[in-house]
Amino acid sequence: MKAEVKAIAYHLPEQRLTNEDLAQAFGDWDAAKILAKTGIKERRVVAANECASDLAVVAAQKLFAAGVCAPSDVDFLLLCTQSPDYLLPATACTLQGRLRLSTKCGALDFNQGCSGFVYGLALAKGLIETGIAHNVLLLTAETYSRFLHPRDRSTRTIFGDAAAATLISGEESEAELLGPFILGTDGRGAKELIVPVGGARHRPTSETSVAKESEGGNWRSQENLFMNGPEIFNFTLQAVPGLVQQLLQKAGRSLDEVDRFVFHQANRFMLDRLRAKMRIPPEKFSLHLETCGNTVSSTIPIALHADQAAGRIAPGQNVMLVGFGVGYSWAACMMRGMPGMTVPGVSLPTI
Amino acid sequence: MNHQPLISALAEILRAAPAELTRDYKLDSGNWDSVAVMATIGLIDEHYGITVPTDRLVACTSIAQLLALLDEQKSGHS
Repeated sequence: MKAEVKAIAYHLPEQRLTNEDLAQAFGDWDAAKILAKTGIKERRVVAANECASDLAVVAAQKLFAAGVCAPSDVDFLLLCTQSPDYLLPATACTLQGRLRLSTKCGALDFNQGCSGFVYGLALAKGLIETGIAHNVLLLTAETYSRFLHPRDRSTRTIFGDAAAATLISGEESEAELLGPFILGTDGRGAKELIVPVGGARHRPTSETSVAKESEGGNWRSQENLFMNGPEIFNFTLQAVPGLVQQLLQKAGRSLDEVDRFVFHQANRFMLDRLRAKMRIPPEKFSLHLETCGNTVSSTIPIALHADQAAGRIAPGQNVMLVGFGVGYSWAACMMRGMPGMTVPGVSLPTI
Repeated sequence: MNHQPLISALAEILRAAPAELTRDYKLDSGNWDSVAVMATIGLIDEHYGITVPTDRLVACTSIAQLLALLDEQKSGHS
């Protein structure tokens, strides 16, 4: 039994945050400059009463509505989020009820960001190929907008909210359909992308909510997201090319034998540099963040969905997925192009 | 070491004419923000294939300091 990615659906919240909105808020940057620097025209952000789990529910419902599988077929639910509904219980447990999944369905949250989708695929593969589960529903859902200070240009121009639902199922096959994987971690980078206050280490106080001006005129409190962009860029330039080489070696393939590269959609500038550094042809390299921004753990499934919907990935093709970021954490894997979106009668929903 | 190709590219980031970028050219809060630093990290990687410590790059207050840092790091990598 081999694990295979069967289908992906995703959901973006209604509210749009355009470059024009941001240019109005930050007088010294115009909309064109924001687009040039980030590759992003607009992001979607949740309403005040909307949670990551709400986005995940809609994404999962789109998957079920497409007839890919029934809720009762799912026997394991994995939720990747850093925006859970509660400290406890696990949001995945609440989603089992909301999605009317079987009570025989295992469910757990895992806290990862930009590498989270590939980590989720690794977990799903383990569950399926050891016979623990057959149909794994992987939900990635994030609402970083909740963590951003309104006057922090460095993060508000980048991040958008979203959720994706991915079905991974067992398939009788001799060939590998998902994998191999390379995973890695360097906790020394934890402080470079962090919400310092709010967990058990540092509890919120009246002082931690006070915003102060920081580098480049950006404002934030200790309860907001801090991102050291230059340091993360340095980490990425050092870590990702080696990660790709390790994966190629483990897969026994050359760069030329990969049909499509789907990297975490951090920002256009970073992706352009990584692509050029690794000499990946632009026509094989996914760029899909113009209308949704960096959606953290959902960037890869959203880009995969867009690529397949546009015919840029054919069934059976060799696709490389690469996630990297908060942690530091990184993960890469190979997967075969999904059959789902090209099967007649199965029309996966788009937003 | 010939830094001219980097300087030419850097001029665009700093929105200055290449001729303006002498060793005394000042890097300050008006032109040396996180976006400019990130773009420079990209340029350094592109032109020299190295990364430099971010805190030291951010701390540069002139083109002369930036070039000295590059020379030091480049010799350390070679």
